[in-house]
Amino acid sequence: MTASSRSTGQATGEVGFILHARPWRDTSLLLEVLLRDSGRRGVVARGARSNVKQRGRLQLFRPLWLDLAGRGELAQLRAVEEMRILPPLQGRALICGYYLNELLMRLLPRDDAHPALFDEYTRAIEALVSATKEAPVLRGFEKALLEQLGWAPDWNMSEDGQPIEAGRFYRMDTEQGIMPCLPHDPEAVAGLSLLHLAEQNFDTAASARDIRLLLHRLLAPHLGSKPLQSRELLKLSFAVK
Amino acid sequence: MQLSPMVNELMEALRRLPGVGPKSAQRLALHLLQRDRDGARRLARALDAAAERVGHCTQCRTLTEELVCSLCRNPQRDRSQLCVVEWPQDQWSLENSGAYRGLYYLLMGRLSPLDGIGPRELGLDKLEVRLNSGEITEVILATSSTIEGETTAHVLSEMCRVRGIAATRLAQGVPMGGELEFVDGGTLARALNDRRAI
Repeated sequence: MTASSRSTGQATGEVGFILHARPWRDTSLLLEVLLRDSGRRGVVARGARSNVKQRGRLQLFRPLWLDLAGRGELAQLRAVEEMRILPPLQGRALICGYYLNELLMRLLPRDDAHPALFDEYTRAIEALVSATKEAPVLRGFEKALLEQLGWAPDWNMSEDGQPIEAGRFYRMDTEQGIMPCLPHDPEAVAGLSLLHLAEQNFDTAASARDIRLLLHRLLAPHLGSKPLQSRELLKLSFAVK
Repeated sequence: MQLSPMVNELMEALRRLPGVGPKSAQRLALHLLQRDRDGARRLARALDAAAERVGHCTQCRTLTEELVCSLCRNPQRDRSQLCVVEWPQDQWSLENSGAYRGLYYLLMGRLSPLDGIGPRELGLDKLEVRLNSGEITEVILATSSTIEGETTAHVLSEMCRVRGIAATRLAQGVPMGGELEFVDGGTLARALNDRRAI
């Protein structure tokens, strides 16, 4: 539809996603974008709200080619094009998409480039478009986020240097890492769940809940005390099911 | 030049309006004071009265100085249909289309998790009370076709589903008089998906 094929070959511009957009002044938008090679940036899109064509392209959860000007705190959007048309996220997948964005907005500092994390985000959005189960996609992204930001322990080993055993029990200490513990410890999870987590097996009923709690426990100290709105929405969406 | 305090205050007040900068404020103030004093007094009275007395309808939350707005009181309206919109301007657009005979509910916003606007902030609990009344058999979700509007529509549709109320969404497609060449890809895809037999 657009001339994306023509412009992607140009030297300027970057691949990115919009994480958040809010109105700014009378006709502009203030965007928070995730760029593959420059990380998260604040961008002003002048006149974007009165420009129907541009407004249509400035959508969340779509891979975009963005041409930015200015090196300061806020860049200016010079041009934007759709890289390719992804079917829009719908229903619960949409709220899951918001969850990914809220995590990145909360945890990723501006101007901190993480190309691998960007690729994980792209994969997660693509997966949400077609996934019948959203939870494994979310777990995969949470794990990648922890690893990329340096907050993940060695999943295969407990803090005493012993490999994780499926039949033993462990608990996650956010400071010290994975600690062996007794089965009746209130935070105990089975070694099997940790092994599943390490091998990205997020879709086994026996371990899915443990893995979710483990990942959320690791994220919690970095998220601060304010609850994530998207997580609240997700709870609502699951609760009424 | 030093303006008199009253003229200055008038211009400052006019600048509260969207899209009015210093130049426009000056033009408007001079027009009211030099050419249309009666208009100025009328504007002042209307503003004062509206700011004092206009509130929200207790049923649909639209802007009105009455407890229940005239539309909600109108016995000609179909009370089994409830159209959920974001803002009063959306309600007025739908009314002007002349195609709708049911009632409305105004959210006064839309869900936007990253701006901290969740179900609580949007007062969805009040809408739940309305849905529980048993009078409504169809909810028309007329939130805008933005990501936030879709999110809102999804959550509302879940609220309807658990209560066994039919939820419908405004159709999307090629605008009247629109040439396909200029319609964006997303809209065209929806138009194709929701195509109908003729």
